[in-house]
Amino acid sequence: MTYQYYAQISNLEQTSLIKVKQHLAVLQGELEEEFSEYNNYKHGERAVSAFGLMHETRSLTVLDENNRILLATKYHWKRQLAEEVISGFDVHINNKIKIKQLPLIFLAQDHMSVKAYYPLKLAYNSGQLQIPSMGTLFFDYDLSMARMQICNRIIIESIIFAIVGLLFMGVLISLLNALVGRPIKHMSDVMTRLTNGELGVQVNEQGQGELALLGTVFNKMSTQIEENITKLRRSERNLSVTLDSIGDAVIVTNAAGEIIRMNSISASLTGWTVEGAIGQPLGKVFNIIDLATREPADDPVGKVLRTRNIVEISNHTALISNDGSEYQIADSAAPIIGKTGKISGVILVFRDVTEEYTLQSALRESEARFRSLVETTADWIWEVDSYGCYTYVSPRCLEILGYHHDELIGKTLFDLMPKDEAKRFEEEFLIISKEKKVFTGLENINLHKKGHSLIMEMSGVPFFDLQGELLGYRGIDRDITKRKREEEALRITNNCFRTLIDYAPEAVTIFDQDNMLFDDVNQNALDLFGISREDFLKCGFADISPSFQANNLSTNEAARKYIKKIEDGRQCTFEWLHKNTQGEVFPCEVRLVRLPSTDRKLIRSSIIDISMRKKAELALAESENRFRQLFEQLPNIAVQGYNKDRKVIFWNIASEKLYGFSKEEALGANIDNLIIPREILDQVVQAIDQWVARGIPIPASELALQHKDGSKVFVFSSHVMLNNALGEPELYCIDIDLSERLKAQAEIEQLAYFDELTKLPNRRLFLDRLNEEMVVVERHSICGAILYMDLDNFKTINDSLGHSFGDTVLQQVSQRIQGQIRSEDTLSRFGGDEFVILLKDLSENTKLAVNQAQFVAEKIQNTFSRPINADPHELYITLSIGISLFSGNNQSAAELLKQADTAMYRAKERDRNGIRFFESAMQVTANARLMLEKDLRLALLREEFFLSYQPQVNLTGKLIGVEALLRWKHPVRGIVFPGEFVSVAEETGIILQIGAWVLKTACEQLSYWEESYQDRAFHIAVNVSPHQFRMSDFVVQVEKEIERFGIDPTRLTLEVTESVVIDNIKDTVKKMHALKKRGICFSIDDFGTGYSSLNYLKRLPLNQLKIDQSFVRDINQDQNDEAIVETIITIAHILGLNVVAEGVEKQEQISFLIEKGCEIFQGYYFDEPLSSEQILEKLV
Amino acid sequence: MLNSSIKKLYILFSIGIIGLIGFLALFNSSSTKLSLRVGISQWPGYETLFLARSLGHIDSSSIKLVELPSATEVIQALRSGSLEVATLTLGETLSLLAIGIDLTVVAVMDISLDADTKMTQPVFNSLYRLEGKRISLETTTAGGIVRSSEHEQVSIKPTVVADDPLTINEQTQSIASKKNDAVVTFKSIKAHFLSPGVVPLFDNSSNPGRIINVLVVRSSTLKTDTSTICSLVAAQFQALTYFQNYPREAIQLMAPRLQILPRNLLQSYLGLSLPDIVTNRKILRKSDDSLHISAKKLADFMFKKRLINDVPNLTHLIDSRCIDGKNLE
Repeated sequence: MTYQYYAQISNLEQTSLIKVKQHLAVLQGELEEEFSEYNNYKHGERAVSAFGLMHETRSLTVLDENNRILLATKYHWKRQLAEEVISGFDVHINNKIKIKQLPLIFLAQDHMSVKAYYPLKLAYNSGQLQIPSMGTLFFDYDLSMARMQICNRIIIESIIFAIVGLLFMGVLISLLNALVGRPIKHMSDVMTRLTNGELGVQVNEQGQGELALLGTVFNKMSTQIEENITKLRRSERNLSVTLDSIGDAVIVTNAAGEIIRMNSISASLTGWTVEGAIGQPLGKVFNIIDLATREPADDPVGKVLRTRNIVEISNHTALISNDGSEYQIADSAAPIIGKTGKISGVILVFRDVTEEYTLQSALRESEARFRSLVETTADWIWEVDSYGCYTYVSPRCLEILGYHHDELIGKTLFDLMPKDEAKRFEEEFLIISKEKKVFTGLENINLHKKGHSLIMEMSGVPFFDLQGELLGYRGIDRDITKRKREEEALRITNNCFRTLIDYAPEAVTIFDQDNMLFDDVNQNALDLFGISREDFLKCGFADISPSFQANNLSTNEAARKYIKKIEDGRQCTFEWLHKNTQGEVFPCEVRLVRLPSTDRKLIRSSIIDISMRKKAELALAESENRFRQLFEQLPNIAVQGYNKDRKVIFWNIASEKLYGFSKEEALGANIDNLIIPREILDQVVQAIDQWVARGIPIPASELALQHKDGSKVFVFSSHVMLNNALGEPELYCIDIDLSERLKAQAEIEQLAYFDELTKLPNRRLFLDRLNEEMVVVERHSICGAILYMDLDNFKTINDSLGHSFGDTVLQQVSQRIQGQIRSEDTLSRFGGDEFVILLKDLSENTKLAVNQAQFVAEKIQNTFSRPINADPHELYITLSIGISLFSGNNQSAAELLKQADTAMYRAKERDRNGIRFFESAMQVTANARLMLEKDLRLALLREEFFLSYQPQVNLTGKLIGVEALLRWKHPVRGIVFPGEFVSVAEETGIILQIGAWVLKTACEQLSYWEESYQDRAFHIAVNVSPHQFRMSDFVVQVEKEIERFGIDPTRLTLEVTESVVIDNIKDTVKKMHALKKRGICFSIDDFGTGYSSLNYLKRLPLNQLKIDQSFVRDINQDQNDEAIVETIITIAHILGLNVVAEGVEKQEQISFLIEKGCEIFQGYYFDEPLSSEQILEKLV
Repeated sequence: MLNSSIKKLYILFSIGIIGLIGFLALFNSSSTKLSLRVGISQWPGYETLFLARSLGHIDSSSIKLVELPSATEVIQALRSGSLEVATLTLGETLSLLAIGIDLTVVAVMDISLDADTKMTQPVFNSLYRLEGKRISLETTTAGGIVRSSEHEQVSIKPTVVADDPLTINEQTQSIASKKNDAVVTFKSIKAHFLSPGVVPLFDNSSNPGRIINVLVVRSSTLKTDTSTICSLVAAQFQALTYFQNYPREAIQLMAPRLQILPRNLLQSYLGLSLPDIVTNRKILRKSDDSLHISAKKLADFMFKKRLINDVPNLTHLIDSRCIDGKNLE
């Protein structure tokens, strides 16, 4: 395989070298030709690229003389140096082949590629005869793939060879197995069966071969073995029966000491089965110990094997059975000596002797027991003959009576007694001997050897011979001297005890727990329960108690509980309800203690009637409770108690409410962590400590304490120091909540300084703040501004949609404005729809400050570009804003406000939703206006008004009437015309007084004229202002003046403007009709300038229309105005009214008017306004 | 005993044989097949394949990218059986199909919008002035299509089209040496040309989508080497994703191969739509059929213009197996 591999590789390398040589030779030719012909690489590039299509091509490169790559199968190599990018490119080889101009093709060192360097003549330069520059053709031809293919091929071939080889071996093995393996396996199976004890098995192999012969021999052998084994078994059975018939246990071992045979008795004694024991070493089955030492006994078989003699085993040997039982055995072991004289084994014979042993030792034990009893007992034992002489005395008599027992032998028992006693006892013994019965507890007095007497208690029995003759007495004497003395002492103690009980101040009973009855009582107990002693001792505790105790436990159960408590000797005191013979139940204090009695369970109880004490306690508790409840429930008065460590010990409901801590939370907590704010903590602690230590009381004061939620709690706090039962000081605080009062104060403040509707600062607060700010502005040389705002048309909203709706709008407006200003600025409502803002801290530069204020104003106006949603309406609101800027303290706050107000009015006048800054010119105007207003009021008083009369003429030029014109003769300004003051008069309402004056004066004038001039056609026209006309008493006023001056009402014409008519048509119609009835005429003044409706005109009781002078002036100049004049005249004619043309100044105007049908004229063409005198002159 | 050892022997033999057969099968399947040669001409739309190689997505033992100067060489190599995979325009693919080379489209590489541009010297500032002038066309079908659609659009009289078709590299030289008055070229070369004195006159963007560049595989190779082909397609889209996410880094890797400054190379991609895997699925899947329809239209167009002699059977033109591959998610 290796050879094959190397042969193929070698072949590959050779062919590759040849292939490369061929390819490159062709390419070299092609390239050189191309370079020489075309001097470019066009086709060369194709040819080089085509090499890339070969699988083996790693790279093919064409290099110029500087080893820079001209062409390559990898384009990104172009223009780079070959040695930098081509791995395995050798510059030295390259230089060499260029010099020698011979190609070099060789195998790379690793034999993985073929490298080829071909010299390449590059292009001649423009056909000049020069040595061409030499380039290189470098080819890296990959062999690795081909090598790998060869390698793979060889590996595959090898694998196939291996598979075939394996298959062949498999077949060979199968064949061998069938011919040899299987017969041998059969024979080995049969032999295994024979080995396992299956007798008589036969091999089933036939034929003539060696294997068949082997089978026949084996079959014969198998048969022989079967016969021998049958004989052996029979003999064995006989031997076993013999052995089992022997009464003793028999064990036979071999020379090695292993058991080879054993009968059933030895099996039962050793606890082993015969089968189990066979083959075991003897020591394991026959486990014997020396009873005395409990150590393993000598191995009898070993001894026999050593000594070759029969060995007897000593009696004090025990056999430990397999189940742990122990047998005392007696046995012997003997050697089994074979024909050769050699010991072939040992036979061991043994039997169980346990029972014999047990009997012997019982007897010994009994003797020893009695001896020790006699010698160790505290009493002394004696035996006397029928004459009373000691025949036996136990050694104890030495200790008790002082006599050695030898000294007493021969003495009578009466010798030890005083004479009287001896005599009595002699008689006693006579009786005993006659009655022949046991005597016990005979007390007698003996004398100690030293002479003092001892009290003895004698018990004994007479004993007789077989014929019934008294042989003597045996007995026992006990020294009871000490007991007798103790009994005496006890008797005395009992008497003392008795006395103690009887004379105890409380009722005492002794209760026997065994029979559940009282064992003893004292007199007090009898008195307490009213029962006689006899009856009492028949009672149990249940008889002197109600069925249930205070804690609802049944009496029996409660009693058991307490009795249990005193079991360990402690005493127990508790309250108990008792009942006397009258059935009255009363509380008692019972103290139980167990009496130290050994034989009886006695309980002493001492009982004190505590009904009186209970009553007192109850009263006290009730009182305590009442006051506690009182404090607990005190409404609005928070009471807290603290101990000297400032821990809460009392916390009433009001405290819970006031401070937020529940009673459970507060109790036990320290005041420091509860309601004392951090800032006054030290002070409080100090005050309390001083009070506790030195008794300096804490004065009552208003305090700001702390709620659980951290908020402040304002209280009026008073303090009381009390001492508790232990004499320790306790501090009680009584806090009254001041929050309601503070709230009320705040409310009062709110009402005083804030607008109730919008909660904004009111005028008062605003002025306060303004004053403060003016100081600040002055000090810091900065500017401030006041924005005075008024809602446009708010009155309409209020009137049409109701006041509550208006209020909602105001609230929303205030919120919107508030949203546009800084928190430090003040928005205030001055009432109605007036809002004022104080802008603080504006720039020190006035111009910038103006901009800032303007910006805020615009921002506010912009915010109202969105409608206000006041359900169910959606309203667009506009504001007029007046701004006054201030930068010093040279004006009063009121002045500043006034300025802003003025600017706001200006803004409103000019166009609604405007912004206007206050200017000084404005101030002048405002001042002038103020002055005018003042003068107007004075003018009425000073009678500075007068009337001038504009004549009205008809077509013929006849004076038919006048229009009364108001003039004001101002003391300083001279004649002032209405245009200059009417608006002020209207605004201020003075117009009403002026109007009234005009009407009165005109009426008066008319009456004056009437006196001198009777022409009925003459009339006077008086202008009535809308305000005047709207007065509810206007009709009455007119009537009053007519009557007052007694004028002819038909001569009076009232001139009203169109606006009056339109404003409230219903009222107009009503008033006009009322006055018309009186004969008064009506004229519409300035007709054509306002809004009119023919419909209205029709309904009104009019007499005249007056063409406004503006139209008349334009006659012959403006065709439109001419048309209007013509129309007015036409309308008047249609409605049956006169037409008056005002302001007639030219002849052309008259001509036009006459042509169109106008009949009455007034104007400078005819006359200027004249005084009453001049009119009178004209009339006359 | 004997029997059991024989059984063991049998088992050992069986295992040995099975193992050897398995090894043989494995070895045979993984044994060195010749690598697939992918012929790629110089075209920005194909550069993502080289980018994939630079990024290490292509296993060089199974795939060999063969760089060829122009589509002409690619077509030639496909015809001579020296390539298994190639990048071609749809038109070129149809031409080859028409002469009986069984190719299957496995991915769309790019769709040329204005990449094929006609360049001219400044004198000819309108197409009309090209009348009677010498225009060089690249020899591939792309050039042919531009010529045809140009005529359709502006209906100029056939100019004297260079009888010696030039490859892109030759064009560069030809216009510089004023051998030709105009060339039809593609954008990356345009980047070359956009030097003083050369202006673009006409581009293919008024015929959007007409030139579709595709990755084609010999149908027989696709059958035997599906997984290798699909790994190539996957590598292409990995590289494309990288290119789209990190164009600057990608261009640094791509520029040296095209011998172009990086900024110029990025410019040449402006008119080129490189459809990503999602778009590819849309185009290639049967549910859409849009490529199929384009191919059908183009085949008809080419037949009409005598660019091919016969309309080829396009039933098995597209195979979307690799595009649908889950490894592309």
